Amino acid sequence: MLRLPRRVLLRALLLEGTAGIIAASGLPACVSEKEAESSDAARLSVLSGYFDGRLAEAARIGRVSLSNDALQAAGHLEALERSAEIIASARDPGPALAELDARVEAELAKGDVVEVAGWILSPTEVALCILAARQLDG
Amino acid sequence: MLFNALTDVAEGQVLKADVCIVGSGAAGMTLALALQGRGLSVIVLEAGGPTETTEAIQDAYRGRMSGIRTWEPHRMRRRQLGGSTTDWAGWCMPLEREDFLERPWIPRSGWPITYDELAPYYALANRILELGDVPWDRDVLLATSPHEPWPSAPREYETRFFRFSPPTRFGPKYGPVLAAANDVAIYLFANVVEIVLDDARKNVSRLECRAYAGSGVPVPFRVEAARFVLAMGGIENARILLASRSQEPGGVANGSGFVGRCFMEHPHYYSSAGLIAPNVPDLGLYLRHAVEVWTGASTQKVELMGVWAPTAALRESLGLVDFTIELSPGMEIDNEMIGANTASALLARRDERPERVGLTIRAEQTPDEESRVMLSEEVDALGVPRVDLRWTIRREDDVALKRALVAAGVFVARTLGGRLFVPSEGDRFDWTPLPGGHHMGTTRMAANARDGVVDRNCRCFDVENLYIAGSSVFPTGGSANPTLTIVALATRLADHLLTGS
Ligand SMILES: Cc1cc2nc3c(=O)[nH]c(=O)nc-3n(C[C@H](O)[C@H](O)[C@H](O)COP(=O)(O)OP(=O)(O)OC[C@H]3O[C@@H](n4cnc5c(N)ncnc54)[C@H](O)[C@@H]3O)c2cc1C
Repeated sequence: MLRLPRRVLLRALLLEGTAGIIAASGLPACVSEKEAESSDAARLSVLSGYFDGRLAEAARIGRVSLSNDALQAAGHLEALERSAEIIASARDPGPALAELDARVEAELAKGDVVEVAGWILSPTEVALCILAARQLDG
Repeated sequence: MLFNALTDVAEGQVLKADVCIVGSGAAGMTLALALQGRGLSVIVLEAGGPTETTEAIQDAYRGRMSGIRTWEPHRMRRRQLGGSTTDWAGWCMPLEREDFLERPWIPRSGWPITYDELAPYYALANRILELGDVPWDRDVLLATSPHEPWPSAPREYETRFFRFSPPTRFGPKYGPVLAAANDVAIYLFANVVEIVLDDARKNVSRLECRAYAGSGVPVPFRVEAARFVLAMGGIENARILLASRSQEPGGVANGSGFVGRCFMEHPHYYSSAGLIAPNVPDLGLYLRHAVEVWTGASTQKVELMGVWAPTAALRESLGLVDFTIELSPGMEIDNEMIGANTASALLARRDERPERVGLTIRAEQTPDEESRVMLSEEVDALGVPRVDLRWTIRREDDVALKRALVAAGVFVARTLGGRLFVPSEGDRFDWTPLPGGHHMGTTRMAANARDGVVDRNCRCFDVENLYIAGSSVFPTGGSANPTLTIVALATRLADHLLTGS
């Protein structure tokens, strides 16, 4: 499993979006251009798959949560880190989606939630919305 | 017997009875019905007329609102035969067993009576409010409904039931019954303006009254009785006690200082929160629907509506007041920043168009001495000081409600795969509260004279022959609409007056 130093990851995420994380991960350097393109597509399809193609709406939630620092305020920044890692290392959307779903379920079972504009959400899904925002906003 | 005080009572006349009841609303009329035919002479004094009220008569109910501004005081109750049951909507639910217990996280909670003591009277109240003989048993009610609870295995939140009275209008329904009784005399247009105590100030010696119908010169008369019961409604009971201050500056029966204090409503937060949920099944249990129930003797039709409510365990663990949540499928969710459409993206993989459900919350409020009925300097046409209603809700209640709804958000996500929207401002729930016309707490029942106005039998601690009927005696309000409990308590008070037990 890919592990990035938290500081590097967050900086990459906030400054450069998912592309930045992917770049920071160094993954593309190890693969051919064709392979890189296909794994990039796989990563994108994880996000898009999670929201059934409704990235624009997810991104809207992401922007609101970024503007309120919702994840940070609730002490759940690690959800962002972990979600970014899962996405960055995904080669095939299926297992990644399953892992993200399992995380959401586990968070809810524990009662770990984040409030975004009044919606009571799991930290991982908020993290995915932030990643969607970064994806669309470049 | 039915009399018109304007025409049937002479100026200065003294009327006498064993029991004098002031007010013919749900409380007063229930009491009169229960006392009728039991060997006592009963007088019922009713300020209003027989079938409808007028602006001039309602004027005595006008007052100031120095707290939350809502329906004006003269618009939220009725001064006529049958009282505010002329307007009520008929929603009924008993209090919860836990409502009677002391809840350490709610200051001044705990009734001096138990649920079990009141239970037999709820059965009588069912009949008076035309709810049938079906007991308040959730399992029975659930089994009779063709609909399933949602979710199927509730945990932190349970399903409770409202039942609906037709609604019973006490004036037309029971007025004729009492008018036909020889031992009950109802006087219309008979306004009580002062309670006068005996020299020892231990008993009421008489009530000062005025025959008045909103115009002309008020005609004075008096009523003497062995026992008196105030059943004037949750605001007026306190008002007349406070206003009767010619002998005691703090008013009658106010040794504790609690008369008028701890005024409570049931704040209604209409369509405030909302949820989206995928693959929603039939929500029929949460809509008003009729079911047929076999009672062992006959089949009765019962109108039901399910609501969500926090379990006693959740209330205790999160330190909550009680509340219920009404579900309204299809209702828009009022959130400008992230609307239901946008939030639906979170559930899109499971359902392209998740159902939207608006939530209306009806909450209990913590008794608060600063939420109160006071007297203003202005007087009405009969010289009685008008009320100054200062309804307040403690910030802690809003904070607790937010906590409860965040827990509901987890519950909704975990059990239904849905997501909940809670309107809030920082750590507190934030929505405009509307009243239900439920006026409680202003002559609270307590275990001792220090903590309240009436004892477990609704008798004033300070005045031996003075009793109070109605929701002003509720020390806490629960989340259930009050009238079923008002009627149950009035039948219990009748038993006490008849047997002394
Ligand atoms: C719009 C509305 C809807 C409601 N819906 C519901 C509901 O769905 N469910 C529910 O449980 N409750 C409901 N309520 C509340 C319900 O109406 C009251 O709980 C109930 O009527 C209270 O009964 P009461 O006898 O204590 O007071 P009231 O019914 O108000 O009766 C008091 C009586 O005292 C008389 N009186 C007052 N002052 C004097 C005086 N000085 N001298 C002589 N007589 C006097 C009045 O004229 C009146 O007849 C509703 C209220 C309103 C306003």
